[in-house]
Amino acid sequence: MIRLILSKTANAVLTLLIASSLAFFLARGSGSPVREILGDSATPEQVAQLTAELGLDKPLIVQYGQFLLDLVSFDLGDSLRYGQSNLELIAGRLPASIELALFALLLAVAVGVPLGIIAAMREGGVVDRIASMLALLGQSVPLFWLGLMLILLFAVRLGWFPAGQNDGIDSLVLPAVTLSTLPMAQIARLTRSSMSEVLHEGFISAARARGLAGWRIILIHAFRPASLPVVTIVGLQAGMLLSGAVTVEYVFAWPGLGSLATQAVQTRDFPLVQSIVVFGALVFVLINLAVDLLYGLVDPRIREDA
Amino acid sequence: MVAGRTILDVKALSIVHPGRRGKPASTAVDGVDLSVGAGEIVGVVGESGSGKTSLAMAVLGLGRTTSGSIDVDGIVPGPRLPLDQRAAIQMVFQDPHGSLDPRQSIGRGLRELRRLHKARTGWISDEDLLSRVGLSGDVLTRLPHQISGGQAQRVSIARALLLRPTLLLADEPTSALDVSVQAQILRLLKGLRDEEGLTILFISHDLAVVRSVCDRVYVMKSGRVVESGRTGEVLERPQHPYTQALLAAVPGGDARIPGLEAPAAEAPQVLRDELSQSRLATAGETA
Amino acid sequence: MSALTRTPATYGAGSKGRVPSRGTASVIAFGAPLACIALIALLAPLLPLSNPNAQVLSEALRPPAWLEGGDWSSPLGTDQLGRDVLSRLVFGGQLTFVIAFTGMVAGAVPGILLGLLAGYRRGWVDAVISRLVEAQLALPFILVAIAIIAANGRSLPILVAVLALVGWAQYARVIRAETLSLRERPFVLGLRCAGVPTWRIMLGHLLPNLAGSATVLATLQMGTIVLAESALSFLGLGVVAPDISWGAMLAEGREQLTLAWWVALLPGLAITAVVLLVNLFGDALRSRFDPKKRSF
Repeated sequence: MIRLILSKTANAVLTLLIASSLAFFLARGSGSPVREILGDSATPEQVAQLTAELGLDKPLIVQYGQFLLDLVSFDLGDSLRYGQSNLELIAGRLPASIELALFALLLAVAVGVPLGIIAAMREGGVVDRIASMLALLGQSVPLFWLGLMLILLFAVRLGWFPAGQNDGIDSLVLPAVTLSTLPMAQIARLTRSSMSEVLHEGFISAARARGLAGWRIILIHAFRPASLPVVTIVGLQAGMLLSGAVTVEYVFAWPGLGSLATQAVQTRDFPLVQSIVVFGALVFVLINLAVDLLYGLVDPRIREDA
Repeated sequence: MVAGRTILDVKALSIVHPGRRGKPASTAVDGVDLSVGAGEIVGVVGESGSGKTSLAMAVLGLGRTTSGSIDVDGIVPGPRLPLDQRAAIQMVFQDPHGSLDPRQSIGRGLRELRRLHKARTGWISDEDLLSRVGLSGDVLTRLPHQISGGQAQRVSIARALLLRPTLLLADEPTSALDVSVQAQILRLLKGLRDEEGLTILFISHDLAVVRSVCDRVYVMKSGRVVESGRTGEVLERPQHPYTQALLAAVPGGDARIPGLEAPAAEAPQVLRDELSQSRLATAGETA
Repeated sequence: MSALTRTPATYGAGSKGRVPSRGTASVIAFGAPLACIALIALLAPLLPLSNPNAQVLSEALRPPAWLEGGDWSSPLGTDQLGRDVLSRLVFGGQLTFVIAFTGMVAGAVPGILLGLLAGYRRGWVDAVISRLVEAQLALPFILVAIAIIAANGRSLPILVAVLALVGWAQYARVIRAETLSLRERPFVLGLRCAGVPTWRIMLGHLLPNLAGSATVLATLQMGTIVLAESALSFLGLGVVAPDISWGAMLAEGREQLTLAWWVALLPGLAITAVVLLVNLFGDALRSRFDPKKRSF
């Protein structure tokens, strides 16, 4: 078990390192942001000064070395606009993002799992068809547009919920519903397919033959083994939700990491943008590591594999 | 059959597969000596895991060798052989459908080989080639899944023949086929030897098959040759306990493939005539 | 990091146990409307539409024709600058389709080639490529896109490059896995044995055998890319005026949400409909191409 933890952790650190480097080279290796930051009216002196300030006048490889050094010492640099360290800024926005992500995830599980179970029980039935259509729809709709339409209907027309900002539980409803559609669709799909796999196995028929009631079978015998892949997808989605909610936060003016990222772009706060990307990758990798380890705990077959 | 020239000469060959992820290294072939003369069909018999396949891959030049030497008529097989030498060693596999690209028609497959080996493949037309393995020209336009297993195996043999190999390796070429088709394919291989002096190393776990086509046989166990000699002698009077055990495992002890008898005895007159001609031709070449 | 390589098993709308003829039928049923929409968008300049960028301020925010105050001269209404929404939808669709297609190809080509290479060569080549794939998948796409566009400015080539980044890792992962099993088939050994060069085995033999999964993947990726493009344009990082895409239209519509809901509703409906069709089409293709169902 300790070997599993060590090897998985080493793996995660390596992935994070490569991902950060990828982010570095994709963003910085392709061009200098100074022009973008200062705009076209900047004088050559201003350009030179900012270039030196950001360390962009050094060779790329030196910049990269500095970037890695900063990374291992958990120093993500300072924001250009806020005059604060990027890490502080991120930490300040994190609670709002976590709140939104958790709520959306809860909603996704609370609706997606039962929907998947009911669909699996009657494969090809009405519920199954409607559920699979809804799941497909959930994967096809642009989230920010769905958010706009919810605002239009429930905030503007009906006035049930506030349209944006974070004040009170009311304001959480619309963004959380919007954000939950994609994970809900995927959780429903996955629950349905892994449930139907389990339901076709012999031990379920055996349980039926022993005269166990339908719902007992479903919940105790079938859902438990089927929940393993569902846990994985929940983990994956959690990572996505924290960092990928940019458009939804933008639509609802939700003061989380996503809107910090959009603001950073609009104010051309380049170091902050990069820090958020690296932080997003960190969250994703950490959650994956947790899911992997959880898997290892639950399923002994995977433990031996490592 | 007294062999003339030696085509395949394997000396003290050992193959050790390095261990991976904590598993120990395993010795697949352990000091094997083996030779095949021109125009001979030589069998290698053993259960799975006896090192037959590692041996075949090494002879093909696509597998690992640890020590010892392999010589195929002056060629030392390896992964980077020049095209012409690569063509000299061909192989027919166990799974007839799996050995053909599912998306490539038979004709296109042959054309690809002809483009690759221009000088070597001009000797015969597609139709003649196919008729030599008992197929009509119709199959040229077919895709592998549109022909039967027996037909697919004939196509594989035709693809090998097209390159005029000095040595043909046959790795369980009939074990995936029905018994009746099995006999046809074996008869085909024997006929090709008799007619064209094709040299074949025949790898099998099936004693009945080996008995019906091989002139000589090597019995392998755990990477070593435990017994070898003329097929009849080895199978009638096995010396090694392992060979005896193998024979005992065959129902009846002397199973034969229906429709196949000892070499040459059953070959039709025409075949026997051609056989003597091709022998003369071979003799002429070597002289 | 094996959770990354665990694909969620997706199920199409009842794709299990569908008979081949019905598979073909649904491929056509979803493919035909998709082709129609694409055709209309691509032929936009030939259609009797008003100039999508012509501003008539006196006509601003006119609702669709069937509503009170609507007029059939602009059937789907006008936006805040009096531009015809229908015309903008069709022309916007044009750019949306072109970007989605080029983005898909730009991601598919390197992704498929790298996947083939990793699966066929294995060893260190595979180790390097697989690491890159995992790392790429660990980066939240929209944030990476933001970082790249922030550093390089907005332009169509940059946008396509960014969209290619969405896809390449997916292709590489799926194609690698399929190549790994395909390369063990004896015909590959037979081709090596016949002296067929490695690049020819990969491109001439393995690639055609992977065409089915690559097509399915490419189709589904088109949907993802349309969504990604619209999100970026919505944030003002993708297509900007005078170019029109559905995402860019939505960004403008957002400002008028309370005054003129149709300006924001219609492009979103268009995106949802197209992505839904693409997903259905992809699922239909999948059950059509499913290697297990092919009659060997």
